[in-house]
Amino acid sequence: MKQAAIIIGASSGLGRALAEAIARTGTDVIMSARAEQELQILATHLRIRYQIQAEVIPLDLATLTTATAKNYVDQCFEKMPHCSQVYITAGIIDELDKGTEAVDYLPKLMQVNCMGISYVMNACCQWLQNRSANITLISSIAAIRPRGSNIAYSASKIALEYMALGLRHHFAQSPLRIQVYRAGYMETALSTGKKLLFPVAKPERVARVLIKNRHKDTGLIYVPVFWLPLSWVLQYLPWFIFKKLKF
Amino acid sequence: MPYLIQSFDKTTTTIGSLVEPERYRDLWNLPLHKPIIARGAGLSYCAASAGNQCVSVDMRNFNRILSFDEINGIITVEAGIPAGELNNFLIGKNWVLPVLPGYPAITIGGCIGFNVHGKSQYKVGTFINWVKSITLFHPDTGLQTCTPDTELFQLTVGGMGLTGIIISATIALKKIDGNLMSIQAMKVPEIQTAVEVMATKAEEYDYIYAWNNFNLRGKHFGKGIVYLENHLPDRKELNPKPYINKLNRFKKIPVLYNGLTVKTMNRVYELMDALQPRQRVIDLVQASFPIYNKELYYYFFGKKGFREYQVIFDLDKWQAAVAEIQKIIAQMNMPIALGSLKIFKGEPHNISFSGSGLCVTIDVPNNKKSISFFEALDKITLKYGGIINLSKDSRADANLVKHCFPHYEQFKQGIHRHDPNQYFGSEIRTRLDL
Repeated sequence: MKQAAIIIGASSGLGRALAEAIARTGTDVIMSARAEQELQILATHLRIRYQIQAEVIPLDLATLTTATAKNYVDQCFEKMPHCSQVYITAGIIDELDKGTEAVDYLPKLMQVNCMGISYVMNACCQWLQNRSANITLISSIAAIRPRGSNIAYSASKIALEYMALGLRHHFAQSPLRIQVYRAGYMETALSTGKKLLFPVAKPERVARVLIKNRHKDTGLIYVPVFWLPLSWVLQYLPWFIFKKLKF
Repeated sequence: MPYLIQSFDKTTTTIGSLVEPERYRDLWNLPLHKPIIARGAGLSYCAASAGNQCVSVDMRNFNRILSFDEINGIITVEAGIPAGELNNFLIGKNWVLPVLPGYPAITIGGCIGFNVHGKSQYKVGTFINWVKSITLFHPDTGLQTCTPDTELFQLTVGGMGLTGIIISATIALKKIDGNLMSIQAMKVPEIQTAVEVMATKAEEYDYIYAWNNFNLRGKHFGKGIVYLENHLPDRKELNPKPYINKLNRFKKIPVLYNGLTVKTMNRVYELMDALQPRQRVIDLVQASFPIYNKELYYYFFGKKGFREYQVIFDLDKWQAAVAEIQKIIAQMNMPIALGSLKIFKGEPHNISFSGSGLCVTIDVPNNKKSISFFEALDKITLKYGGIINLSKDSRADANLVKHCFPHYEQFKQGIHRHDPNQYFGSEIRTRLDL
C-alpha cells in the first residue's frame, strides 16, 4: 500500500535529507517549512526523480496557535489521507542565547522549538492514534545537560522531549509510536568550516537511521550512537569539573 | 575560521574559509569582503575552487533536478548535482549525459567550469556542446540566465567559476536504446599503432581511449590497450547504488610509487586486463566511470600527491612531440604511473581544454624531479603548439598559459568586464594572472 510522510523543517539539513531518503523508498511526502520557494524546488525534484506525490504546505512555527496547527495538520491529512509517518526536524537557535542580558529572542525561540512543535505533534496524534504510524521528533544533544551557551535552546528542547515522551506514554496502548532522537553534530551549513569537538554526521546517514527505525517502539535514542556513552559522561560529570568546561 | 583546502593532486594547500549555502536566499548573504569562489566536489587537480584568503562556497546543496523533458531529452539541474548520480537517473530513462568527467562525484557546475571532456570526446566534443543555458549568480546582478549566443555564456563554460556562481544549467542529453556497452580491448605493441587504431576507428565507436605504458623504452614505448566501446541496444535490470566519493580517504598512506613499483604496477594492470576477455559486455553504470572502485591508484601517491600533464598535439605534430617526450622520460629516468591517449576533435575555446588532435596524459609522483620533468614537457608543448589542461595542472603559470592559449587576453578581459569588482578569486586566478 502506498505510504505518505509529513516532514516539518524540510527545507534544509536533516529535514531535506529525510525528504529525499523517504521519497527514495517510494513514499509520498508533504513538506513544510517557512521557505516555500525552496520546498517547491525540492518537491519538483522529488516528483521527477522518484515518481512520487510531493506536496508543499508552508508552515511558520513562530506564529502557530493550537487552532492554526490543527488546520495545518487537517490540511496535510486531507491532501494525503494515507499518511502514517511524521518527522519533525524544525528548530532555531539564536546567537545571543548565551546568558546575555537581552533575552528578546526567548519568546520566539520557545514558540518555535517547543510550543509550535507541540501543537503540531498533538494535532497529529489525534489523526494517527489508531494507525500503525510514527511521529519522530528530532531533539538535540544540547538537552543532555544544561550549559552556558544555547541556554534557552537546551531548555526548549528538553521541554519538547518531555512533551513527546509524555505523549508516548499516553498513547502506549495505541499502535502509534512516538520517537525522540537526540541528534549530534551534523554536516550542515551551521557546522561547515568549523572545528568541532566531535565528529559530524552526514544528514543522509542520520535520515537512513530514522527511516530504518520507524517501526520500532523506541523512546529516546542518540544518533549517531556514540553520543550515548558521551551523554553518560556529561550527565554524571561532577559539578566541580563540569563547571570548568567551556563548550 | 581558517579552513585548509588541498588541491586533489595534493600539491597545493590554501588557507581560506568555507561556507555552505543551503537555500537560495543564502546567496545574497555571502561574505563579499574577500574573493569568493564556487566549490563542488573539490576534485580539480589544481586549487580551482579555493585560494588563500578566499571564501570557497560549497554548492553541493544545490543538487536538485528542476525540470526534465523526457521526450526531447532536455534536463535542467542545479549545479551541485554529481554527474554520476544524474547519469544513473538518466540511464533509467534511456538518456545519458553525452560528456562524462572522470569521476562520478564531480558536479555539473564543475563540468561547466572546466568545460570537461570524456571518453567520447571525438564524437560528442566537450561539455559546452551540450549546455543550452546557464543560470549564474553574481553579487551585482543577482541571478541571470545566459545562452550560448552570449559572451557571458562563452566565458562561463571553461571559466573556472570566475564569472559568477553557476546555480543551474539546462543540458541536452543523448538518447540510448539499452543500458549495456560492448568493450573491445585491443592490444597494441607501441604508441604509433595505438594512435593509428584510434584515428581510424574514432568514427565507429562511442567511446575510444587507450592505456599506454610509457615506462617501456625503445620501440615498445606506449605499448598498451586501446578500448573501443559502443552502446548496445540490449537491456538488463540495473539497480545502481549511490556513488560514494572515495577519493579523499586514507590521506596518510606513504608514497608507494617509485621507479620499481610504478613499472610493476603497469605490468600488473596489463596482466589483469589480459585475464579478461578481449570482447566483453558491461553495464553502462559500470562503464561510465572506469576509475570508480580503483581509487587505490590515487592513494598510493601518498600524502605528497602526484602531478598530471595532459596536452593536445595536432595530429600532424604528435609524432615529433611524443618522440621528444619519450627522450625526456628516458633521459630523466622518470617513472610514469599512468600513460593514456585519446583522440580529440573540435574547436579551441578560450583557455579550456579543447581542440583537435591527440590528447596525451601522463601521471607522475610529485617530487623535485617531476617539476623539472614538467618544465621539459612545457618546452615540448610550446614548441609543437600543444594545449594543456589547466584543470589537471597545479603549477602552470601565466607565461606558459599566455603562450599556449591565443585567446588568453581576450578571456581575461571578458572576465574583468563581467566581474569588474573582482568578487571572484581563487588560487588559479592568482597563479594565471587572470
